[in-house]
Amino acid sequence: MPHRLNPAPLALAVAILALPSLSLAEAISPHLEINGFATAGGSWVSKDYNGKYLGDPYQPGAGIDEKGSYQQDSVLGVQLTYSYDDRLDMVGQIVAAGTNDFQAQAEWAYIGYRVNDNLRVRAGRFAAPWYMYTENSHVGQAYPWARLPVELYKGIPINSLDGFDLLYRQPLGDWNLDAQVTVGGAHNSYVRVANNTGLNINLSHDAVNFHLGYSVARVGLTFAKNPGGNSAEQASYLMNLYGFDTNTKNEATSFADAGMTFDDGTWMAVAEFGALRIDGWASDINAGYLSVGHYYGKWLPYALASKIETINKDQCTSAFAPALNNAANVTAQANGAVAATTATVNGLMAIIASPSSSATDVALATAELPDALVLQAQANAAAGQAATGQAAADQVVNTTCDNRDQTSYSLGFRYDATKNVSVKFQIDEVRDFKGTQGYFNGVLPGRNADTQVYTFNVNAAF
Amino acid sequence: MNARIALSAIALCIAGNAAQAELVLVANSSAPISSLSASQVSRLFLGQTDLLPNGAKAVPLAVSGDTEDQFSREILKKSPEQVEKYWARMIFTGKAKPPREVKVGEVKAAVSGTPGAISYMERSQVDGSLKIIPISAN
Repeated sequence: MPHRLNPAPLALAVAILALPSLSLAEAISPHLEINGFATAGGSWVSKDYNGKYLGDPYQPGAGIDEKGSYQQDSVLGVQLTYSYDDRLDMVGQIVAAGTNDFQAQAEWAYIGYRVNDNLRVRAGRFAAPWYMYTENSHVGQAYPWARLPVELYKGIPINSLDGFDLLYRQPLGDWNLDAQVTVGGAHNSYVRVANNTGLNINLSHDAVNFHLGYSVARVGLTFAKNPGGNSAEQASYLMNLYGFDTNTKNEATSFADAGMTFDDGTWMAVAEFGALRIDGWASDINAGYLSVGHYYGKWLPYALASKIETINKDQCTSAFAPALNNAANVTAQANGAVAATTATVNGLMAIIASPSSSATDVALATAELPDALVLQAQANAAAGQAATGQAAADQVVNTTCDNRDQTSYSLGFRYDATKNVSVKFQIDEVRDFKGTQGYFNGVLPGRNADTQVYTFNVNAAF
Repeated sequence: MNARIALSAIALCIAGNAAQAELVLVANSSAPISSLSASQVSRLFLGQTDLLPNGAKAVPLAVSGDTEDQFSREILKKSPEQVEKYWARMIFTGKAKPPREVKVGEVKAAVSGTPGAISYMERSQVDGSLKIIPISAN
């Protein structure tokens, strides 16, 4: 895609500066509240291996290369809350994310009803609570880092659920218990989540919050088979050619998550660990992070270590093994054809060149030679294609298999310029890919490669 | 040397606090409460309950500007930035709504005119139309 100048980040920066003056809602209706959030910023990687860090074939604006990206973290969101009365409300949230080329999408649209002080029910499209910060994944103002730890948060490409949930809250002495039961489904262009049932529990007291989450679902993957499309589609086409269907339906899937946050205004500590299990060829993942920071007035310098590990690479590679064998067989047959046609050509040349050949034999061989040369050229071309196909199939196992190993060590700071606006800067050292693509998309950075990622952004919420 | 800097910093803080007027919790005079615990106050103003301890409807009213910051620090025991971060999390998960906000000059009228209203203001400004609610330790 040609590199083009996108005016959206500038518009975002202007929007952020204009935010505090917004009290439009009250003017429209006392029942209506307008809230919004925005992040504008840029990020760069020291090496991109001719791919994109955090790239996603289904998100045209995603990914950071050596030239930098102003879209990866930039986002603008508006949330409208219409409170009919104390019990009934309607909430809509529209998000324009840089990863999606700033196309506005209805992230949420739900109706909420408060049954009593303990229980509230919501129905419609609402934030999926997979991990501790998933519901706030677009709201930079709600978390300390310049970007949510990608090792855990990039793992699930869906942020909203269509269905209903029950929100239950109960004081337990000085502690607050919040429990959420979700039932629903969701899909984007290649992932379909059905029959999701989840339970999330938060237990908080002053500076401390404990989070536990568990959910089960049926997950299907649908890749278009388009050799001219994006890398995932090409991969799917190629594997289909070798007799492997990358599409899956209704694989039993579970997510489990445990986390805690501590923030007393002086020290901040966050730890979270998540595990994704999915049947079929797709990979199972363990991921987690640990972060510590200390407040100095409005400054919060922090350190973060984050890791993702694919725990059953063999499951995927063995699923692909027959297809890889087919690819190897195609290559072997093509090489055999090269040998046979070359032998024919050489035989004819020998007859023509030999002084002992009769004039009739030379004439016959000379007549056959052009066809034999055409066959040899065809066989060579086929062998070349087979070799390319086999190499690509090998690559596919590492990229389509979604095997991702990587570890990030990050240092950064958050500066609260005002109560509603923060500035963040972060440097990540990303390494230990262990032969996988890590969070590069479709490229293999190499076993011992490491990369630095620099991120700077301005975040606002109003 | 360092100790002297620290001491003068502490002295400055004390002077700063002394300069700020004392903030008290006030309620509509018909409110069926005589005191609240610190955690009950936090729950009301952090959107974790809509009810007073006896089950009556509560209408917490936040006060815009410096008064709110002082309330965050002294009564919620959180920095204003922490409170904003909390609301950024709650609003954009759709899980809690911040209390309605009134201007510092409107507190008296808003609280005395709203049954169940509870808010905060300088002690010296309180008159007989409002009830001061002492905050007990948890």
